[in-house]
Amino acid sequence: MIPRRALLAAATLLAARPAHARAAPDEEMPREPWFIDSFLDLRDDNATATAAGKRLAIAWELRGCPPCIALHRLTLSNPMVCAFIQTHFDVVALDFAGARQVTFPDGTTAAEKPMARRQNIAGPPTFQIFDPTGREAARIEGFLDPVAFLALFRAATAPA
Amino acid sequence: MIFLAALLAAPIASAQTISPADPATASPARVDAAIAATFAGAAVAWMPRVTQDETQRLCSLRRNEPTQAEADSIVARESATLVMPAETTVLGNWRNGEKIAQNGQGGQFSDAPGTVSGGNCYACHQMAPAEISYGTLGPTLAGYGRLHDFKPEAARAAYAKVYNPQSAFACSSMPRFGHNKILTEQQIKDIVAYLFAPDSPVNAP
Repeated sequence: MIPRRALLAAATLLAARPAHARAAPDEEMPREPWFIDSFLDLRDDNATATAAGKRLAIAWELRGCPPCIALHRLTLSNPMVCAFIQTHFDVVALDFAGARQVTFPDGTTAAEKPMARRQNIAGPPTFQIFDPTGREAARIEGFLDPVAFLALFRAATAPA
Repeated sequence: MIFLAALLAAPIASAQTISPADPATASPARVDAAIAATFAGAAVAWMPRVTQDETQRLCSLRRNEPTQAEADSIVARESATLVMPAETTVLGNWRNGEKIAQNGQGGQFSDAPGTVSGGNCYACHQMAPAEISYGTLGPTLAGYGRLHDFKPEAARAAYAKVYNPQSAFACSSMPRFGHNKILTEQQIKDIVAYLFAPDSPVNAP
């Protein structure tokens, strides 16, 4: 698994957008270092998570989106929140306005933006949590403080 | 433009008895022909507004869901059209910006001459947390400047997004306010000040 991630990191560097693509000042996609690098076949990521006794979560994000920034800065940075999520979840970030092809845990494939529409994602940030069969088990929408956010992730790990 | 096509589909259907709901009959050529016929007698000054540029053509063709290569080409082309203010600061007067954000006037063929357009920002975005009436098509902008640490480069990025949202997000639903000359440079600066001034209601806790 580690070589695969390393390979992906190298590929990502090589595929970096040319500088001329953005005359506008660039904005970073908010991201946690412990998010999982993915080839975006989420069936694989779901199997990997399940094998490790974890669950797969998708984080829908958008560059510059204020509630996304707030969630990262005030909630995901919380030691209890990030420790709990890292222990129990593999998190893959997707771009709400993106055009990368992604295969969902249920096997459907689309680019990110139409996939977000198909999944009825109201807006960024949204977390989708999947069960081992690839069905969505929980959805967490918008900015929440650490206590509320953690409670929903805890609930999503409870046996059905 | 898709919206326009939908509006035009009804009269076509009644004239030629083709179901407007059948996507197979709504080819780009048919839509172009319908628009040309509808606006044949319109004022010449209107024509730029019913003629698609390459970005609009691609976004219509893909129903606002471009491929990665198309999205990259749109962002590159639209970024190249950005006209940024010469000065380093892009912050105008937030009090004026608030009025512009609340103003939904302009852009209508029936406008009285001299009508000053607003940004109509609240139609799609939450801005000041105290305002209870806002749309949710776009992400909330509450706390925008505060959450961007009031950084000048973030304010410039916001200016660019208002001037031409497609320079950041290909096939964005947001109007290209500067590019299409809906708002002036000063008006966009005032809106950016509304987002970024520390004492703006947008940044109220």
